[in-house]
Amino acid sequence: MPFGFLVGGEFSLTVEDFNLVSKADQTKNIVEAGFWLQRFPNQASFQHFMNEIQEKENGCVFEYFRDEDLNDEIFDQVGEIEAAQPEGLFLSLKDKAKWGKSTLRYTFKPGEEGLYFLVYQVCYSTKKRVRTMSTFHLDFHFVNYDSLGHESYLTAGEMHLPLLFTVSAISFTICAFLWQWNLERIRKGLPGIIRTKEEQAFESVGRPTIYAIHPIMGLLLWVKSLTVWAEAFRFHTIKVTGHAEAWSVLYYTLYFFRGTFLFTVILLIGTGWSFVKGVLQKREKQFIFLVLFLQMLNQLALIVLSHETEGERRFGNWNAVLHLVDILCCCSVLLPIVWQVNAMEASLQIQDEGDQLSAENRASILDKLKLFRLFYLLVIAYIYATRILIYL
Amino acid sequence: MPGEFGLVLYLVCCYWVIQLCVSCFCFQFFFRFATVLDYKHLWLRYAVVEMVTLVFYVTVGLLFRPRIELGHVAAPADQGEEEGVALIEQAASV
Repeated sequence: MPFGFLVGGEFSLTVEDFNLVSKADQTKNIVEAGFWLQRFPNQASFQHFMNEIQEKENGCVFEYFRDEDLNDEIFDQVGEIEAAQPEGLFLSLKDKAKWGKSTLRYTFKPGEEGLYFLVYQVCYSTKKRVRTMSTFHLDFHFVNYDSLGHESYLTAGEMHLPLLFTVSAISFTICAFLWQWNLERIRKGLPGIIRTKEEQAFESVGRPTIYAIHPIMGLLLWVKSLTVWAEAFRFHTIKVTGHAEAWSVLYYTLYFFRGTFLFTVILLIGTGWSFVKGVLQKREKQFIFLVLFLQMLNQLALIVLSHETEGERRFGNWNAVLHLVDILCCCSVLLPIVWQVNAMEASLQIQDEGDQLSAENRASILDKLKLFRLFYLLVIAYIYATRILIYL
Repeated sequence: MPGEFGLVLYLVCCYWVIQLCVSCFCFQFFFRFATVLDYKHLWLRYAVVEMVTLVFYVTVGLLFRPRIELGHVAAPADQGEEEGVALIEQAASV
């Protein structure tokens, strides 16, 4: 589990009621369990180091703590770090006297700040391996101090997140208010708040049309802003107290609705529902239900993940499901837009051939065609930007 | 008409090549940005996601906002689908 410590950051780890369970009694003398906190430049270097350890027969991370030459070797591979404590922090549980309760504390000095990884391993001192299970209670506190001197349980890279999400939440709330106000004005017969010169010229002959999709889009904005508010409060509570179970439940519930709702709205706009036609085709309906089902599965994976810890076996499986389903959903929302664009192109061609199309109608279809092509590009850009940045 | 067919084929190819370029550019840009950040600046990743999301919501909102519509749009009925009758959504009386 990586954590970025700043100068003055504090680390404390307490292990209680440690025990090794094994069929062979002598195992307890040939194994050594321990916790090792080590700094790496990034996640990739840590992963590279761990892969090397796993490939070695009886590979043990503690050797790197004890042997300076080996320790230098890691940093030759992963990039030089000027550290006051290049060997990291180590808590060995070889001594049975430490099994009841043992604590490791440290305050990071200038030059020691960086991204730290906590590793737990049970090492064997002989080649003979016996299946061993270890049980213990672990209590750890990773604390940083912000520029105002307040305690922060967030990692160095996440300390600005409460402020960031608050600003984002305010922006989305303003957008939701503006959308709602715009719809209210149009319903009352007043002109909309955003008008092009062309629209202003036609105001005497018509009013903007509110389709069924418009209130749904407004509702999506409200759900989105509530989700970001919940995320802002969640990060703030984690920053102050170190955990935020209640906010996490609220956040994941809202995230579930927001995710499903966003895909529904993109699909509905993409199929041209209400803008171009009032009824959905059978295959479009089936497609929407399929994507919604995938989204439900995705959200279920997210909820399970929120209860698991990185490194556990189930975490990896659910994480893979989450990524796969999400990418499937993202690709599938593009299909209805392609169908719609093709249908409009075909419509233009058929009506052109029959010469039934007035110049006004043709211009209107061409406008919508441009709109849907732009929407397609927007959805692609949005998916790329958010998915790549979230999953990397 | 082979001439017209060739032109259509050329336009379709151009369209998909542009799509591919946009996709590759987006991927390269965001991939490089995400991997270049150090541990202290990871929050910038969230900042960019939030900004892109806001820009996406605002742009889609502006594009599909209620407008004065003057034309009739008739989408063709889908071949073989009885339910797929594309209706004309008429704007307010002109």
